[in-house]
Formats: sequence, structure tokens, C-alpha cells
Amino acid sequence: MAFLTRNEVKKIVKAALEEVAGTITGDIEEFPNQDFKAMNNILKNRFLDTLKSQMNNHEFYDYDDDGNRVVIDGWYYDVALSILEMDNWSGVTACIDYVDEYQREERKN
Amino acid sequence: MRPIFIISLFCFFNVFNLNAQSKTLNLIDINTKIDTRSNPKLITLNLYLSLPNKNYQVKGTSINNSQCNIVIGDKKYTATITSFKGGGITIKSQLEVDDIAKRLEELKLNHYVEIDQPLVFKIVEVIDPDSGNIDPSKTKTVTISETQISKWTKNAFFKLTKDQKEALINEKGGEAIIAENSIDIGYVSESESVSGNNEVNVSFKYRDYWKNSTKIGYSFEGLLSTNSKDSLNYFSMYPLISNLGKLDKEGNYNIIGKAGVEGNQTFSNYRISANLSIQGIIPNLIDLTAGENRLRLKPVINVGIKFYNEVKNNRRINTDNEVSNQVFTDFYYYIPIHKSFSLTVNGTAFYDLSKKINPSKKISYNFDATLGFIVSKGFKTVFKYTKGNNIVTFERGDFFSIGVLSDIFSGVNQ
Repeated sequence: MAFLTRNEVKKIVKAALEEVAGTITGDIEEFPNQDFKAMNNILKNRFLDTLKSQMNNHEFYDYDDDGNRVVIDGWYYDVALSILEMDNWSGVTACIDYVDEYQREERKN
Repeated sequence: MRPIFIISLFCFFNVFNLNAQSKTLNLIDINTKIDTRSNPKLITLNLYLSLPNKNYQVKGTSINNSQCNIVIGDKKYTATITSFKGGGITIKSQLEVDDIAKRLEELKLNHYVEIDQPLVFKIVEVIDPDSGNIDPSKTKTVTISETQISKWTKNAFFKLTKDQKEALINEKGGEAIIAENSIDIGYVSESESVSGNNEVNVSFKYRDYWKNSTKIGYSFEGLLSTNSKDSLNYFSMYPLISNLGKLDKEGNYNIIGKAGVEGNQTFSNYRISANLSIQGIIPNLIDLTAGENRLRLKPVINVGIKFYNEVKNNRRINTDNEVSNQVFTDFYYYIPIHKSFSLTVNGTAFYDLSKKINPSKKISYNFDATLGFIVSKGFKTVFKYTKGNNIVTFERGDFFSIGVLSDIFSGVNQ
């Protein structure tokens, strides 16, 4: 197993934001927190669903004998999400930090 | 003497090797997180372990196949063990929709997690956080005993908060009965008000699921003021709201049904109504950022048809209580402006099909446009302009107010 790096998590969060905001060209961590907090629950639902889908469908990594990451099958990444938890995030950075911290490795059925 | 010495040396050497090959860890923290976006829903118990340093991670694919159960009295519920990046292992419990309330009630009793054999896994040290690569020579094997797991997890689910438990029951992934719960208080100066007096108004929206229901909700919303006869005041109460399903297979649009009572503030005009609408997100319509790096959220719309039966009206002519239909649309759009400003538009447009109520066949509308900017953490000073037709009485009005925007129940003010 190899967890996603913070940069990889940031790209996933960006993809989820683009689902509710259209194409983003700037650094998502520089958005004012108020913009992120302005999502109503309909936008939050779409954002969280996309975030989970992006995590689940991301390439899964393990380590080779040299300690480098390689793609393997049979596993996927996941993270516990809810609107309740999202309401605790002050902005985009808090969202990325949460997903990075609590990402899990799950075996496919 | 010599054979005993050799035997002793052999035993010592192997104990040394056992300690070098496998070690145990201590528990340093534990928390609970919920997942309402998965099906079935999950409760996760995150056990932070005493890893050698912050660069170490638990290698989830190396965790052996220990059978894991949550034991509550004489009942056992299957759980699974995996790893999380923050520094430990996660014990995961699935909750079928129909069992959530019952299981949460059971978890108020004494409980613990049991495993049928020691948990064995590897921990690795990441030497480059950008690539995620490790130093294989620093990999260690860890063993956690059955006793350690039972002790660490004793009554651990008591940590679930009341909000987490309610969210497990009420939140439904991909569906959106619940709108933003909010309350705005505004002040209208005597020069702006119709009454010629200073006025205070409050607009609010609140929605929630009925207790123990995962499908039926209720809501109330309104605009009330110290001038009870203001033409834009209204109060609506819907004891029945339900998400009836997805319109498209991607789930971009949902079909919402609701029924209730709508009236003006004094209820001198009110009706019973039932709505059927399609709710979803549409592409962005406008860019006022002037190139500044802002998050331009897409608009949310709700388009539908209303069936209503008037109970009482205050019209001067055509005073019979009408049974009629309306086609309507609701609109929410947050528009960032330049670097620090934002314009939030909430609006409704509607067309009444009754020739007696709407003889001129006009499309009526009302909206409020709120201009805000950050002045301190979590709050913004707002200038709010409200204009249009009352959705029940059709009376026209407008006012400009100054207030402080505060979103309750949605965690904005942090």
C-alpha cells in the first residue's frame, strides 16, 4: 500500500470543486474561505459525492522492493465524508487536510 | 556446562531477533468519524498509534486477516480493520439504513471490539512526501494483541456525538431535501420603509427530516417584520417534503415533492398547496471576478408546478377562494465579485394559471440580492435589497436593509 500524497489529494479536491464551480485555473487553496462556505446543501451533496467517487476510482499504489510506488489492482482509496464534517471545514485547505489525514485503503470485494 | 551455555545463547539470540522483527505500539488517541456518502453508511473508529515518527504509516495491504467483531452484550457485529494515513488503524462498522437507529441505541451500552488472533502488519517510513516513496530498510513489523484491541476500544463508540448520530440518520447521499438553514435579520430605515417607521425584519429557512424517517422531511420559511402588513411578508410551512427520485441516471437532477400551507404574515391570505419540482445545478452564467482567484459556484435551480386551494384571501375583487396552478422556479446563485465582495441572489419567478387571479397573464417574481464582504472572521456586513411580488398575495413591494448575515446550523460562523 501507499497512501495518496497531499498533492494528489489536492488534485482530487480540485476535481470535486470543478463539478460545482466549473473549470478552475488558480490555486484552490487561495480561494477566500467564504466562497467555499457559500455552498448550499445541494452543492455540498454534489461536491461530496464527486470527492468520494474521485477517491474510489483513483489509481491504487503499493511499493516495489526499492520502496518506489507502483500501481496495483484489487484495492481502492476511501475517506469518511458527511455534510456534518464538511461544515467543520473552514475552507479548501481544511478540506484537503481532512481527506489527506483520514484516507483509508480498502480491499475490493 | 558448555551445552547449557550454548542453549542459553541460542535462546537469547532468538529473543533478540523476535524483538527486532516484531514490535508492539501504544494507543495515543482515538476518534470517530461517520460516512453518510457510502452505502451502507459507516462509523469509523480511528486509532492513532505510537509510530516511531510522523513519517511512518501503516501499510494497509499488509494487515493480516483477523476476524473482527463489535461486541455489545451477547450480540456481535462484523467489523473490518484497515489503515488510515494519519497514523494508525481504522475499525470500520457498516450500518444498513433500517438498522441505524437501533444500532446507535445499542452502542449506548457497554461494548468493545474483539479480534480472533493478534493483528500483524507492517509500518513504513515515507522519505519523500512529494513522491510518497519509502526507505524499505526502515520497514518494521508490528503486532497488536487481542487484549490490546479490546482494552483500547472499550466503549469507544461513546465518542459518537449527538450531531454525528443525527447525521447518520438524516443525511442521504446524492439527495437533497435539506436546504440551507439560515436566518437573516435586517433593518429598514424609516426613509425606506412603506410604514414610515423604522422596521426590523427577519427572513428564515429551516428544513429537517422527521424523527426516525429517512425519506420524509418538513420545513418552514418566511419573511416577517415589525410591520406585519408589509406586502412582501410571508410564512410557509410544509409538513411533508420528500425526494421522489432522480430524473437522470447520473443524479444531476432530483424530483422533489412537498405539501403544506402558505400565507402572508397575518394569514389574512393563505392557501393549501402541493408542489412537484425538479432541482439541480446549472452552468455558471456570469463572471464578475475580473480575473481574481475566486471560487465561482454554479447556480442552483428548482423548476416545478404548484397546485393550490385558497382558504382565505384579502383581494378587493375576485374574492372567491380559488383552486389553481402555478408554474414556478426558485434560484440560488452566489456570485464572487473582484477580490473580496460577493453577491448572493435568492429568487423566485412564478406564473399563475388562474384567469381570475392573474387576468393580465403576467410572470411575477421576487428576489433578494445580498452584497457582502468580509469584515471579521465568519461574518460579513450585508446590504440587502428585496423586491418583487409576494408569492401568496401577489402584492408588490421592495426594501433596502442593512444587517448581519448569519447562517445557523450550517457552521459558517467559525
